[in-house]
Amino acid sequence: MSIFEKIGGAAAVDAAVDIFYRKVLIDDRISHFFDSTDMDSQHAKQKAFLTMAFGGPNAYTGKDMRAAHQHMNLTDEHFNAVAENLVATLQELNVPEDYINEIVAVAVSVKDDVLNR
Amino acid sequence: MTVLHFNGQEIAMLVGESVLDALLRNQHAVAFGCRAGVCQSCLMQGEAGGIPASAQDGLTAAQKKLGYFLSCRCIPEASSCLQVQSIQQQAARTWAQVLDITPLNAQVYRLRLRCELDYFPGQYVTLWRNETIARSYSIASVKAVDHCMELHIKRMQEGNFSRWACDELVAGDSLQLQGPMGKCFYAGPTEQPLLLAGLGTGLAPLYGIVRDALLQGHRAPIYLFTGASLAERCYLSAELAELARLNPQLHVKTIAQTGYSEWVQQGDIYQTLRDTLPNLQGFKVFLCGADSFVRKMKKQCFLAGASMADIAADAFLPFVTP
Repeated sequence: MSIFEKIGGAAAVDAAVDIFYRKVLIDDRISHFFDSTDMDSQHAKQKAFLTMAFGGPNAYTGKDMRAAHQHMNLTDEHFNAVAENLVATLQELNVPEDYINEIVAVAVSVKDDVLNR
Repeated sequence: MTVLHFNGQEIAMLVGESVLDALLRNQHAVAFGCRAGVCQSCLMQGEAGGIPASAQDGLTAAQKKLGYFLSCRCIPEASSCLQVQSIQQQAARTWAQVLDITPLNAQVYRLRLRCELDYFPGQYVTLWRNETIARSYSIASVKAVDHCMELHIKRMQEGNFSRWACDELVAGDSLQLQGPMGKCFYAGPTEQPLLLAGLGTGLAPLYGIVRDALLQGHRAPIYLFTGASLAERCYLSAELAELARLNPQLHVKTIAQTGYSEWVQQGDIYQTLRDTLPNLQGFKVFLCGADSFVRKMKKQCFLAGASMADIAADAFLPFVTP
């Protein structure tokens, strides 16, 4: 059984996405990346990201990740900010520690693509 | 190269160009309005398979099945070949008759129409002045109460449509209308608190939605925030105050940046909303008005706890000519 199934599938993503997106929007380290974007499409992207991190069915590829973030000049600090918000979201939803570690490991696996390394 | 076949004619498309732009560039007289996928006046029909899904956003299931699409939103994949044709536009439109048109203030006019169309208050229709000029307006009426369709038209000094409508339309005139469209309307549940916020004629759909909710027996609190830059540009203020007096669950605030009156308070609509409702968790939110207002308010409401799924927004877009 994947983490995605263990924590409740699509319903878990629905529960997490508003909390996660809200944290990202008020995080001074990264909020400026979201200022000019359409909130609905951004919300959909966060949902796709969480589905991927939870190990659910997704169409994410390393190439997409790279292309989407290529011109944003992202640093370790930005990546860590997103990861911290992800952990805080999962803690708020009382996701067990073991699962959180697995989810973060998936997110970290795309780090080089996101930071264009 | 992408090739467009239009009514039997072949057109070479430019990279990233929409079907509408390609046709206009080749001097085809095709109707269009907002160029943003909202008014649906550039509706066309194409062969199945070649139409990107994004060009069919907002269309009905039946329209999608027929291969209808919005040409302003249709940017075909590179090196493809697309077959499209104009449709009998009349089929998508219906006739309406002007009952009256009266000023609500110095800028905004109330147009009341008699037409057979079924709609939800808060949806919008596209009105046609002629074969090339079309504009979209939100529906302020509740059919069961008003027995007509009511629209609020802001008379723009250079408005190809609005100046004509406000200055020249008289009772008994007929005009063509398309729709209804949009998902900004009341659908319960009656126990969920509501927040409605709109600036300028953003009040039009909200005036329909709030009265529809009351008619359907909405029980939870309803907060309506409306306003304008100047106190004298606020409208329907006395009517809204009376509506709130008759319905204890309804709370109305009319806010002007400058000036005040018996029904209008001076202030900042964003700050007033924050002070009145610091926590929007569990609220259903309706936002209507200019794009800048809707964007800013949407973010504020989301950060105040409203779920994205519970925020319905209708941004009024300027209609631009190429």
